[in-house]
Amino acid sequence: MPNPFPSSSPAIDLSQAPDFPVFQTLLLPNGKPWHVLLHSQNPLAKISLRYDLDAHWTGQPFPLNTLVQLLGEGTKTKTAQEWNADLDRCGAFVQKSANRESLTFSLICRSQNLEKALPLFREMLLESILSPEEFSMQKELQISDFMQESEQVSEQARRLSSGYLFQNHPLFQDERLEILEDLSLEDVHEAYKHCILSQSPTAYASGILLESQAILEDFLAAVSPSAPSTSALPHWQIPEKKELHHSMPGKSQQALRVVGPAPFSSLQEELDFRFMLVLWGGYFGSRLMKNIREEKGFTYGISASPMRLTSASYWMVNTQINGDKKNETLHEMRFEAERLIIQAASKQEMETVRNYLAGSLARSLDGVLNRHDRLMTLHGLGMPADYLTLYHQHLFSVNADQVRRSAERYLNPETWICASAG
Amino acid sequence: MIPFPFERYTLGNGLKVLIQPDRQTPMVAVNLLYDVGARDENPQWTGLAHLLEHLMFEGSRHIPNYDQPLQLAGGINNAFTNNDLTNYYCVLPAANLSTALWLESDRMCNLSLSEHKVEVQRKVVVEEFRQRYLNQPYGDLLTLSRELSYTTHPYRWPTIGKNIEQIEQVPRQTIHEFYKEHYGPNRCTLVLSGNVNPDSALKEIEYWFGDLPAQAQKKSPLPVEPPQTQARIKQVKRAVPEHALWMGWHMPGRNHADFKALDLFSDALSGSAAGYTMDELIRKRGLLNQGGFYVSGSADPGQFLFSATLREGKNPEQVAAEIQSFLFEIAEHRLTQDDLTRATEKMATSNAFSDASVQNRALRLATAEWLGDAQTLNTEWEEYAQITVDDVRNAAHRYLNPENSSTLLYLSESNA
Repeated sequence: MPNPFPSSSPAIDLSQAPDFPVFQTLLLPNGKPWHVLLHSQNPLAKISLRYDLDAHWTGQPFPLNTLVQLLGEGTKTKTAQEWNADLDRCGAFVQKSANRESLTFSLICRSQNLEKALPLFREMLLESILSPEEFSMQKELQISDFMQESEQVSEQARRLSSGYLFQNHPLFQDERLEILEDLSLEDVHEAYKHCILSQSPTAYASGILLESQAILEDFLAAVSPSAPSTSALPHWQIPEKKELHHSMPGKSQQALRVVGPAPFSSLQEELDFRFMLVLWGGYFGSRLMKNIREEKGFTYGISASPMRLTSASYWMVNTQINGDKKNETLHEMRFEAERLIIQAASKQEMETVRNYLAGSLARSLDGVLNRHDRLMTLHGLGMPADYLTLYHQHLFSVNADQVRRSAERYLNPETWICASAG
Repeated sequence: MIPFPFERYTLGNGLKVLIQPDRQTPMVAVNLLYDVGARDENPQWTGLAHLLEHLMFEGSRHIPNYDQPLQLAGGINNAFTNNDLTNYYCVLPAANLSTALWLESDRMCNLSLSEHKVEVQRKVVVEEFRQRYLNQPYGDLLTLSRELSYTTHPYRWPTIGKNIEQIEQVPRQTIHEFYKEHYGPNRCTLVLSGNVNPDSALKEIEYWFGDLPAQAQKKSPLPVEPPQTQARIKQVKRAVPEHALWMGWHMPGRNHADFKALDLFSDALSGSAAGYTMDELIRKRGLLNQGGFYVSGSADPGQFLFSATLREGKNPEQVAAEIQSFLFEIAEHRLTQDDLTRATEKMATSNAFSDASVQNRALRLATAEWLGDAQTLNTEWEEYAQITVDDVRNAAHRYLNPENSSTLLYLSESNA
């Protein structure tokens, strides 16, 4: 240990920009594009298919969630147990997810097992039988999940804010228990037919793939029928400010979810906004964390995040607080927003956020799986191929006045929608 | 398996150092695992190790703010505490390794514990307690199950603590004494994983940590849990939507010869959608909504565990009896070598995924070294691959008996 011990950090160096990966777009023999990231650092492969939803299906979470669960749980040639056991023999995993705009399925395995795992993935996507027995079981499990989640203040605040945010738009999802209880197997078969079997997904592949390229192309051709692309969803606009509350007697905490608008007319605006939001509430040293957790101890955590879909964008703050601290927490959030609007951030704070984000960017690209996920998200949102380079350049050029103006534009407390439960 | 090359050193003051170079990443993970967890607490002041973990981010003698310099260097950090250990990590651009070492060396022996910081972190931890345990359905299940399973060993309370009052009332002096007793270079394993040169990294470590004084006090031996000879059962009623069932059987700690057989058995039962839990207990018998078997994986003798919520109309006591006989039926008659092979294959892939991240690699190395030898990461997969059905059957006979079990019937008031 040096003597005297220095009270300031050793010199720091962030001059070296990371190597920014980009997907290479290739064409299948049938002319359809797929997006590839060859990466030899880890002996892994990840293949993802994203099925975009049209306006009819974006509002129907229950058939879609059930479908996602049922795929692979019984196919034309295998029982659910047999299909899953075969997947295990390849040491492979399938990730399945449904969000408001799309369904995504990913196969992850060691590259050496890709040839054995791909036929199983194909079988899951194209030959699942959706049996009545599996459906009944999955529906019962979903009802159980729903009821358990209903006991959580954070979930009730989420349902409340989502219901209000997307009212009168195809992204609205009616998440009442009675809707789930009315779900039929026919609904799920319809979803399978329209959202998967007759859709052509967007395909992404990363990792060590070269030896499997031909079989991969066959797989992608098989799961990509000629189909019209899904029509774009109508433009979403955030509704007027409102305070919503779901009462849950007996809970010792309240969940608080505050939402504000984030429409962008340019990439520059979006990048300024992202920087500003991190400074306000997006990292451990943010103003909201310092004030509300580290100075006042009202909460275990509070975070602001950008919420980005292709047809909607907004920001959201989430926290859980001691039951009697809701008004004080909201007061401090408004105070920190107004401070950011009125007063330019200091040079030191700007530098801290910039460096933190530069490090986060490099960290988010560590390893093939992280790279794949990051690039796939950006591609799905329609970001430019050189987005990561532009983002990195922006970090080193954004100034305090841009941040202040971005706060002025997006953080006006008069626009906030506040949903609470507890 | 992919070999896991690393260099190992011990400084004069006892600090264990492992360096795992990886030239393909621009990052480095700096992981410090301290040999202190909730098991080292006095029953009067439980939750102390975890509260102290929070306070470790509140500044040290020469550095009043831990987070800001690290963020300025492009880094992130976090920590966790469990019953056995407390683990801190930073991930940052490798060029800024010195900043992480500077921060860590100061807080290893020179933590500030100001009155104000202690009071604020008490409130934060109390909110964490509420958020994770009191305000969640089934939130007290962990506390109740530990109280039921252990009579003597400090695993009988959870890491967060037994109750909020102890966190609110623990004196600042007691926190300071706990820190002085348990933190120091010879209580820590420091791992670097990432884009570093082992020789120069070791020199840096020696520079920042080499003169720190070793912890003179020896660790107090922990009370040993006496063998359980009779089944224990407890029933509670709570405002939850469904009945839940929790069962635990005492089993050996991580370094015991039987640990891997039971670990692999829990994977064959519940580690996959093809496992016996999903196929038999959920799909065919319709007993559970969700849940399964797992092992606690603790250093001291731990538990083989089952936890689940039950389908509507199922009687928890009857399900508990069925689970006990199910375990024997599988171990005795139905488990195949193919089940174990599939579980092992899946484990290998999980590790390969995990090792794609420098942060996970550093944590896995630190944990393995703390348990005895990081080199086991290069050999354990083969050991798992050699486990036979007979090994599992013998281990099941030794440990998964009714008289060695604890059962918590967690009843829903609305379904009772």
